[in-house]
Amino acid sequence: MANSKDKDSHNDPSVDAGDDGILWIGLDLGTSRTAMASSNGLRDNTYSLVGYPKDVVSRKLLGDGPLFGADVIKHRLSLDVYRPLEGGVIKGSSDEGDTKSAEANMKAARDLVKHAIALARPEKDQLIYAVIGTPAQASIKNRKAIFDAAREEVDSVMVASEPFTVAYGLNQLTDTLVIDIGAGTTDLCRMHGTMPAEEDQITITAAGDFIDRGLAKLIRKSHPEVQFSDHMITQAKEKFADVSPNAGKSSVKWPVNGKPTDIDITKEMKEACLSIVPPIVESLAKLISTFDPEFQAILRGNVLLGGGGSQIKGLGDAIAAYMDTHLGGGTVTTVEEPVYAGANGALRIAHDMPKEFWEQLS
Amino acid sequence: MSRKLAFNVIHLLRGASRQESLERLKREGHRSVSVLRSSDIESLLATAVDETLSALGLELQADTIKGLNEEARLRFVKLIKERDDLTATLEALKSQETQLSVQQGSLRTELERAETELVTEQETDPGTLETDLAQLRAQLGERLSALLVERQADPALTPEVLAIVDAAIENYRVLQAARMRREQNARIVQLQRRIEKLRRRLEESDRLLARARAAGAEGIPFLADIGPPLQPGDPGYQHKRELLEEIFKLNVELQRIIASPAEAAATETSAGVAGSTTT
Repeated sequence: MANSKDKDSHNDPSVDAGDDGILWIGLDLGTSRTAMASSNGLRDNTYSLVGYPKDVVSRKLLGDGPLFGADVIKHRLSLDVYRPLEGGVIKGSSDEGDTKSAEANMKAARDLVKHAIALARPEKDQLIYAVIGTPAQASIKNRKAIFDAAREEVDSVMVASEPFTVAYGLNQLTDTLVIDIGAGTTDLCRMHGTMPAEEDQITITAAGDFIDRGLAKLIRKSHPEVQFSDHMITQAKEKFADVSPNAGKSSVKWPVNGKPTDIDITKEMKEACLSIVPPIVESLAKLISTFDPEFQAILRGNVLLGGGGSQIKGLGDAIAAYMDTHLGGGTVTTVEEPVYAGANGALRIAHDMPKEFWEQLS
Repeated sequence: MSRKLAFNVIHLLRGASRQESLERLKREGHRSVSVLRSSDIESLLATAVDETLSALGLELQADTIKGLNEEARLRFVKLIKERDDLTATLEALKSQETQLSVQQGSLRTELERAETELVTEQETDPGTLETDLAQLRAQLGERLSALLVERQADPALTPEVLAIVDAAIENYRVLQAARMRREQNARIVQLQRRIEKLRRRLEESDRLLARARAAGAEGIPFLADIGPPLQPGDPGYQHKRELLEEIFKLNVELQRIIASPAEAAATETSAGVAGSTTT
């Protein structure tokens, strides 16, 4: 690939347009955020939200749409809003239920994938090869839905387990435990030099949304008079989440009977954020205890923490402390770029994949 | 553009020309001279460019030119915005550098304090309760001796009883000493762990500071560099190649199952692709 390093070329993505007109893309389709990393050097992320104008008036105001990410939040009152991914898979792709809703979510997912690809600014006649991370235990149906969503937008697509993509991107393919805390799910994966099998991976629902629900419940209990929305809870969490011993105060200004009032939610924030630690360590215990006893100590000492949830300050230390008490010790390292770790790893896989493999799949 | 081109042409023509006086030209019989002004050259060039574009079928219509200008204007506006965003990011990085420096200072102080505590703890004798136990032994000895005398016990019993008391107190002393040593060791281990954590945080803080400084000095890289693809000779090449082949095979199998709805229904499990050896 023509990886020009000089500054002039950095202002023109077309210079790094990829070998033989190919653009490789790594996608991490998260419940809350979708991250994209591409071989032309561009990276971006957006909220996994898709909005379609509700009526003629909103179409006039906002265009025909769809809108994505922060624009959806800004104009949500004028839009039919979809959060097409749940638990890391496309909503409705698992069950036989409401077909109409499943179709609407599928369309939203396709539009989201299309938007994520567009963020890479592909050239008109470039081939696009993409690797998409999927939750560790996504079903065939879930994967089919993601394939279908991506197939129209790219020339060739592969899926790979999300925690595996994180491990691959960080070159930690042996004796490593990867924890990928998303919004809908937390995926744990045991890396031991070979492709992780089903028994090497666990998916639990103790993740970002779980914290949000817990936080809302605690705040409702201690401040029943306060008015707040789900979005406000998420915003507060993203701003204040901190479980470290010297965590600062978490104070929000939320309406009480319509009047903005300062509310101290420090205790509730810490309790909600810490609530995911026991189930995570429980899952770690399963992965460690079922491993070769000779290598269990190495595994315990090499735990990688990634995903959006890893941005909770002090969470790595909190998990390590809980491992000390319940598992006899452990070392947890938070990855450097939690938002992009999955996308970076997926891109790495895409780029390292031999071209002939891509051609066979397209 | 044409003005610049005209200027260049004039410059070239001047370079290739020579100066002649009007008197000399008159003597040579010239009554008039042709004059070509720079504005004429510019006009000629513009005409030549337009005719060439027309001949090649590349003539741009006025609305196309307008569109291109508008696109250029929008791109320029976007570049200005990007420049402003980068400036803001650079300022944030500089502020982060300051915060990191302060944080690093506190970390170093905390580390020094922890190390001092560790040295103090290691050098401190956990204590043996000698004085208290000696006192206890003396008091017990006195009371038991008095009791035995009072009860008119066999005088030979006294030293035996006192010996049993001594033995019991000695055992207790040993147990207490062991307990205090264990507690001290636990505190030392805790301090050592704390020091280790502080050292790791200090190293991480050093790295972050170096990055912030580098970003401030060199400017923020616009793009992330992916590096070259996997090649023979790279560390771990064979291992990674095998993993990639397996991902490929699993995706081929997955696509085959998806393409066959009956088989997809039959194999609907929670097996993961690129995460399971069964699909």
